[in-house]
Amino acid sequence: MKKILSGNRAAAEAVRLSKVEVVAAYPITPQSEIVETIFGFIADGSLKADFIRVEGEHTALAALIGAAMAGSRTFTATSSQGLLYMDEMVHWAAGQRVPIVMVLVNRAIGPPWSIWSDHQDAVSMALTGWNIMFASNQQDVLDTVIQAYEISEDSSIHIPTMVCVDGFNLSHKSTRVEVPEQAKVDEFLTNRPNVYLDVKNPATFNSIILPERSFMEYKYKVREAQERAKIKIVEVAEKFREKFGRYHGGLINTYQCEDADAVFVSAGMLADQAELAVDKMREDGKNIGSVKIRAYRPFPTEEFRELANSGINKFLVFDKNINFGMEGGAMFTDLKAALYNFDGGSRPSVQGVIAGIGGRNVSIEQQYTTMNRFLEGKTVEKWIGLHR
Amino acid sequence: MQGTFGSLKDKLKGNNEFFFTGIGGQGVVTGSNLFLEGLSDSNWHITGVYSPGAERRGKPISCFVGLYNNLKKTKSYEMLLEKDVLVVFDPASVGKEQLLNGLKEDGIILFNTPKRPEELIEANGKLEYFNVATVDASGIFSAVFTEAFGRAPTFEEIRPNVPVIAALFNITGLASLETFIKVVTNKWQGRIGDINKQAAIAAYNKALVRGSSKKGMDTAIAEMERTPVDELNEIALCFPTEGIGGPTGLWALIQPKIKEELCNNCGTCFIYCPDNCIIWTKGKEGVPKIDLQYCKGCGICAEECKESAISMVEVKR
Repeated sequence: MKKILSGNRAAAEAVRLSKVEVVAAYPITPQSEIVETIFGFIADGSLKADFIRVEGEHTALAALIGAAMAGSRTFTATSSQGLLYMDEMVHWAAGQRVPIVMVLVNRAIGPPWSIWSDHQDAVSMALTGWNIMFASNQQDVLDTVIQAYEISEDSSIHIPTMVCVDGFNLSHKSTRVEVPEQAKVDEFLTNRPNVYLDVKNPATFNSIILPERSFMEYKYKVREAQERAKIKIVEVAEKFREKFGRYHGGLINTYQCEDADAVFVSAGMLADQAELAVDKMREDGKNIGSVKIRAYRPFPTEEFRELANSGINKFLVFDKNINFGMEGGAMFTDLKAALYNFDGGSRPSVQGVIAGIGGRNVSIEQQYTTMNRFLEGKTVEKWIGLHR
Repeated sequence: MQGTFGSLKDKLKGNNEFFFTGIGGQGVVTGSNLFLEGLSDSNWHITGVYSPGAERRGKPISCFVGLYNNLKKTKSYEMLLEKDVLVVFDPASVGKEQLLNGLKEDGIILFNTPKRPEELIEANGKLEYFNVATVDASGIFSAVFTEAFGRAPTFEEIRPNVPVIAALFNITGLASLETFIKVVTNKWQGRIGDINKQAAIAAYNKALVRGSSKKGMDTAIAEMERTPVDELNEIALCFPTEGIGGPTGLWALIQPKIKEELCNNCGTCFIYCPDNCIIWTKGKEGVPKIDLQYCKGCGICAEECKESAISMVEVKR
């Protein structure tokens, strides 16, 4: 059934369809509409879930860790400063191996204060052990949240997943979205969270571990689980395509990359918009493609190496974040790392630009012009749209 | 040519971008969502986005709705600067010339006002370059409300959104009255649903329309103020100043008034004011002054005053 939904409402619909059992969240713009909508579903009986009202984001995630340990399907949503307030529990949730799904409606991190979107909040979570996925349109939001449960709740994975949605431009933008039938979603979601809490067999979880015992080993296990998630994310996307006929990519999604010499690399809404810049360049007769980073963690290292081996020798990364103290943004740095140590093809040229910080407009024209300069071997403006 | 009841159907071309503007509380966001819902079964590829800004009643708010004949256009997340159709929800904004910035040649404007298009054109000659429509949406809503509740609505109770959208559907020919009533009664049931349904029926074919009579208008997009990065301080310092929403004092429904006979000039209000709107100097005779231009009426000063010397009084506009 088609409904007109914003990115936020699409996320809430996905939570309803996934029959989430426990929701805990604290309001923050631009996320608030998600949990408000979920609250509405609980009130009108279309979602049978407990909503835990908490005094802050740290508690929201802590409450969900408890609920997930008891085997409940859980959800929260936050943005920016709220995520940072949650930070300690974000690390804990991954280490505790609970399959929580969180929608992160991307918002710039202050100061100065801003409610508009960039990806600084998401990339600052890169080292936590969560799967970090980016949706690039409203349908993608709905479909990826459902997929996130199937990924996280797989017993071989069991680490939490964050689904990122660009604030306002996507979270508050509405369009027609296909809302799948409940029965099909029920069939699709085959896993359940592991139950760790057993009142008959009380235990302490993740108590202190001496350096020479097994702390390092438990961290290694998180790392291994995330390596397995690389395969699982791709499998679940394929399974989703079979069931619902829609595909938004595995770890990456490619557009016009088959014969491309150079590609745009971006995450979230910019990746969808890059397709329009690609179309424009194709009209000019240039072999350009676009790569959407759908999973930022685990990073699609192998996929990018394959693209490099297939003959793409120029990668232009549009980062909506700043990697302070390094050149460019975090995704640019990660992509360079991925393409450095690999056997086979020659090392491609990788350029990175910073764009859309604090919600600054990024136009198709800017994407187009920057790529053209890169192709011509000219200096590329590193900060797109900066007032000079 | 006199304004007539009529249609501007033939003005809508391949891709159309609508800009809805009003102030928080007038139902601009809900109105744009109702507009989208009314188009849900159409062949248009549709998008709608809003920027809530400061997210509060009384603050300017704008929404954009795109009707495209090309699905690919929905993949663009660019800021919309140009518009084909301008819909003005706030009767007080009718004379604001900057609203016309970015409106395309031969574009459509729908004003919520009891005035006729000719009256507006007389006051602002630039409007001759556009297709101007007017509907007294606030008046229509008030009449229906009064009929239902036996009293006139207060300023804050007036919701012109449903009658505005009803008129917009009629002049653009984008949806029938039946379709729109279905959308409205699906959104609200019971008494609220009835009132809005009545308002939709009353407004649907009440817009007065006058076609453009001149060509060649330069509708330049207003240049935004841009400070070069090298001219900025290392941190952002804020002082009360007029932003894009005008002076913040305009948002206030109540503002503080100091009773001089009770005030001991202690300066507590100055310390507590979150917006730097109390002017006070230690040791200076008299009572503090309040910067009503920027005071948003939060009431913290009145709450904190130990002498109960500050009362919050309704702002008369």
